[in-house]
Amino acid sequence: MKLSKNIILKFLISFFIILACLAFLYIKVLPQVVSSDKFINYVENSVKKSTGADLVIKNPQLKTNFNSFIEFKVDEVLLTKNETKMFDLQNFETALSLKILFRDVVIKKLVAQSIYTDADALQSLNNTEQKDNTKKSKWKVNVFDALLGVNNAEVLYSVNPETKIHFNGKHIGVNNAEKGKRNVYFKIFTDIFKNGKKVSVSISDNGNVFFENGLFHIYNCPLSINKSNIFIDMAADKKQNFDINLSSKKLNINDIIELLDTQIIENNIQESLVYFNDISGNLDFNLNIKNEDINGNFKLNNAKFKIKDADNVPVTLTKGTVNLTSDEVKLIGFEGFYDNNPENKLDFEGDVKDYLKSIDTNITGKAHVTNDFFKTHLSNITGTPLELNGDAPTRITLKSKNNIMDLNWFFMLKPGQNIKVGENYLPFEDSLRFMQADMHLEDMILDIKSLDYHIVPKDKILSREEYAQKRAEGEKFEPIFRMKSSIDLANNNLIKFAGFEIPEPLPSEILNAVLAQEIFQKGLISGNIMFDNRGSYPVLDGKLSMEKVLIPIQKMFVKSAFIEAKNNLIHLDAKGGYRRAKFDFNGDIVNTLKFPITVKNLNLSLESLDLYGLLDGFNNQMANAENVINTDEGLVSVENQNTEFDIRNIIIEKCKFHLDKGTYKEIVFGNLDADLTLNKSGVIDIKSNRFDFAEGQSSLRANFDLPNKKYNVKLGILNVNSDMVANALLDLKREITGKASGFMDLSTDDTMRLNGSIKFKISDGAIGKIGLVEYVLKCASLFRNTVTMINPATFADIVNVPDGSFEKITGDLKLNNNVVTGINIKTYSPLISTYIAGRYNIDNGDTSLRVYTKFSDSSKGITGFLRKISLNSLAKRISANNQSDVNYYAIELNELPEIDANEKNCQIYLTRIEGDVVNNNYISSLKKIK
Amino acid sequence: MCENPPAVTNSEIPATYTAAQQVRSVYVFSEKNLFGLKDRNGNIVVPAKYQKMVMTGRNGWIVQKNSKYGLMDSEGNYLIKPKYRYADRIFGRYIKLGNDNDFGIYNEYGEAILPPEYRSIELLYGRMFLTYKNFRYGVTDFKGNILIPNVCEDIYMPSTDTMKIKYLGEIYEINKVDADNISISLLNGKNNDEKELNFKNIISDTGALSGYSVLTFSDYLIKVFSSISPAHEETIDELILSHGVDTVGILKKFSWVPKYPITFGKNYFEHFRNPYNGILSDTRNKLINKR
Repeated sequence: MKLSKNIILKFLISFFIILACLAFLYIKVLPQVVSSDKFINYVENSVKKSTGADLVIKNPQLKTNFNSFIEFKVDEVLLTKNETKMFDLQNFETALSLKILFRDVVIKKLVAQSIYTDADALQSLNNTEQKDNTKKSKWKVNVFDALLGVNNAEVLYSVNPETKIHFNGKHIGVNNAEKGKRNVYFKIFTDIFKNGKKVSVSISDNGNVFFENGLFHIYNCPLSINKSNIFIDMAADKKQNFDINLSSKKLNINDIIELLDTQIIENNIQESLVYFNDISGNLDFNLNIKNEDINGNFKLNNAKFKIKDADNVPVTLTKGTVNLTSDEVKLIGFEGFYDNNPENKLDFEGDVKDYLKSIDTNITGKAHVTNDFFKTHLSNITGTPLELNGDAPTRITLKSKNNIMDLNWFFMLKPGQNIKVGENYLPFEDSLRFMQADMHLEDMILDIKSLDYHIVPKDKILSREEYAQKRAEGEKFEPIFRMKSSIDLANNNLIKFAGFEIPEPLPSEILNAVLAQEIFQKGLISGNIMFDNRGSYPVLDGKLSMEKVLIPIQKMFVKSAFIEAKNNLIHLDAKGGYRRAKFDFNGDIVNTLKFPITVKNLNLSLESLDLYGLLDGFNNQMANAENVINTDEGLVSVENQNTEFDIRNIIIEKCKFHLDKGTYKEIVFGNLDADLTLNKSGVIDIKSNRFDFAEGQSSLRANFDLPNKKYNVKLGILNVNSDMVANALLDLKREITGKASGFMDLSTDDTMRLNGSIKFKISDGAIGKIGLVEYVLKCASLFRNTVTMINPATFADIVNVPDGSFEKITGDLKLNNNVVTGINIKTYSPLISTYIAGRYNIDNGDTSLRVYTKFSDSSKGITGFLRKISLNSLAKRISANNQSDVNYYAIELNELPEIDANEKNCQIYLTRIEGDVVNNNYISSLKKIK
Repeated sequence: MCENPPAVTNSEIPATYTAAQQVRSVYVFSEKNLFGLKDRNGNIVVPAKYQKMVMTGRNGWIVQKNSKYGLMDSEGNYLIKPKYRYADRIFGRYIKLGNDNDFGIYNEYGEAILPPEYRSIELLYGRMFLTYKNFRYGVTDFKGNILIPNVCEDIYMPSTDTMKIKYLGEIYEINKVDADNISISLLNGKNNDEKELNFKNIISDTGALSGYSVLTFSDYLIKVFSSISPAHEETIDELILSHGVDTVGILKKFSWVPKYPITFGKNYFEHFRNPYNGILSDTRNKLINKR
């Protein structure tokens, strides 16, 4: 027992000693430590070591008491880094009472002379991952009765990389001088910078902000945003019940947009503004929020904005009211105009119920569409020149709930009013026309359920009431044109299906309005056709007929066409004109509307074809091609509308091609029946065994690599007009005549320069220039052997220039980029033969020709006798110079055909021609070789 | 021995031009059968006042004005003034110009490859020119380098790589010959007499005081007659036929008739004084060599 008493006593003594020690430490030692230089240095060094920043703590004082009341003050806490001030707290004092058992902290005093904080700089000191500090503290902090205040507060902070806030506060605090009423005082000026713009926000208490009887009051406190003011009235209690009233007059809409755009208040205004430009205007509003009950009224004084997706058409709203309750927004009496013209009126109204959940919207808008909108804006939007003759009313009704939207669009043209697409007006101008579109948007799928186009002849126009009555009686008003479509907006506007229905033939221009492009002119079109893209590949379904339709953009006239798409094939039967050519086309195309389009079999018949123009058109992407179309009424000129078309988008597996008549420059060909294929690489192969060509016959193997612009033609020719061919291919007019047979292998490309070879043989032909050479040689013979001139027959030789006729002419020409590099032409006749060698540039006509001419110098009768006794025979010896010439030209001399004479009696002359043969701009020389 | 011609400054000119290379900024137009140049915009660069305007290489134009030929560039500047009666284009880019004893070869820039001092210039195999002056033949290459000076009585090539040279009455044959494989040294060891031949020299070489005076006299007596026909032929060639196909026009105009007597006389004299073209000249030269 005694032992246990001693133990208890020792325990109690030890406990009190420890307690006394702790009390001593808390009351005496702790304040001393906090104020000691060693402690201050330790803290400053620790901060330096961990952050690299310089911390200065001046005169910290801690005062502790046994009654849990703690006071702390410090003259200055300054944090800098690289001489940049990051945090500065001056003359800070606080006093608080700790109730540890209740985990309650009661702040009695919290004041400072000034606070400066560069929040971004402080943030940079600790870049480590932020821990989740959102865990709610179990301690309660009570500042309701505290003396709070700071004379100067300055905070720099970046909301995001683009937005910076500069906060300045003066005399901020709550005093507790009066019992029962505690004034809250503040003067706050904040500048928000974003993308070079500054938004200034300021607010001050004006003595109207205070706590009283447990309530927090704000009376008519102005919040300034740039030049706009919003007045705040508020009452709130400690149970978070509140009654706030916000009001403003002529609140500048732009000021609010700029403030919201800074994102200092999180919002999605950017998503809404993405459709608009240049918003301005002002409104009056009064908004009351009483706990969860909202009531407000917004009165639009005026507003201007531009709609981006509508070619920035400017819209001016002159009036309109929004009534806001907790479960409904009503848009009442919105009126205005567009395109800065009060005549272009528009108005809308409607309501949005359950706007926080299902957003049940019902809005109806009406407008007068005028030429201002069509010519200035709709033309730009569609890329096609559009004009409106008249003033057409239109109405749009929008119904939407839970993101499911129904849109009904009505547009009407009265008799005399019309839409001009490009240069042509739409048909039925004398009738009343109206268009009604019924659209549905759900899950980003836009269904155009129907887009009906009606016409009502002038004498059958009904009043609205009559029309309604007829409908009520069950009468149906069938449209003359109906379109249906479904578009997946979330999938790059993918067309799921699209089609139209034209029960009775209509002018083809009706489709221009739908396509918003000037494609069709004149003629009639009817049928129903559907483009269905819901399967693994798109297909066509339906029938379509065209009659006498002009398609200028394709340089095509469709005299008649019938398309039937069914199952796996599209059958097409068409007649018409393509450029100057008339065609007759029928064939089957695989019903798979994806490139390349495959033509299974085809019969194509052309009445005429300009092959050079066609190739030139391909090479120049139709840029320089003729803009004419062969129609029933003859050739029609159209404006140049270039379109680039990749020929590889079409494959022709089998085609029987017939051409009545074609031309290539001066060459006329025709009666051509050929097998034609077009493969996936865009290469056309044509084979024909016999057809008319240049007044003769020809067989053909052609290979046109259209994408790479490589063209090759192999022609076997029989009895063709050599002058026609030489003129067309070599630009040599009337240089060679006669019926030629042979073989041509010619290639060209986008330069249209020729490569390849030509071999030919002409019977009973002529080369005019050789006639001249022959004439010169006769003169040479005469003048050089003067004695022979006494022969009377020589007069005939001088007077008559030979035409260069020969029994046979053979030729072998090599072409390289429009230069005939290897000319090999031989002429045969009993008395004279020639061999022509050289080079000829087709582009500039420059020629280097060597014409060797052989003839016999033996003459019978008196002339032969006289020659033999001529003085010339005394000195007849071939000079050394001539020996060199004979040998220098030996290879080409060997090519000279034989004549009916002894070789010893033959003379050979060389005529050289240098220059432009075609235009007679050349220099020429002649000398005797042998 | 002639002097070396001026160096060809543009030695990088290709042997032949492609069609694309010959595309020029100007083109020929004609007006009243005369030719001039226009640029691609249709502006007249050279008025139409030339009878001929034939492109040469990429830069030059052979022009004919009043029956005289010269060379012009594409801006209309004369590179060689029209003063020659004869012109020929060689390989599309060389020009042979000359009157009588002043034939030369020029490039398209008007630079002389062979100076204007030859009686005639002809082509040889192996990229060589056969030149003739003072009744002697020589050989140069296409750059104007003299491969054989004009000292030979005769030079010809019976085949593409064989050259026969007659020098001092002796015939020499050279095989595998071309511009890079021929040299004047071939004639070393022979009497390389390069003195200029003139009438006085001919008389002294064939003088009556020599032992062969009778032979020489007979040769020249025959040449008095035998030179008539060749001189006539050459006159006809020169005045009429050397113009090739244009002969037709010349014949019709008869403009050659007044020029005939002087040209004939000149050619007759040339024939007469040539010591190597007489019927007896070969025999005479052999006797001279034996002497």
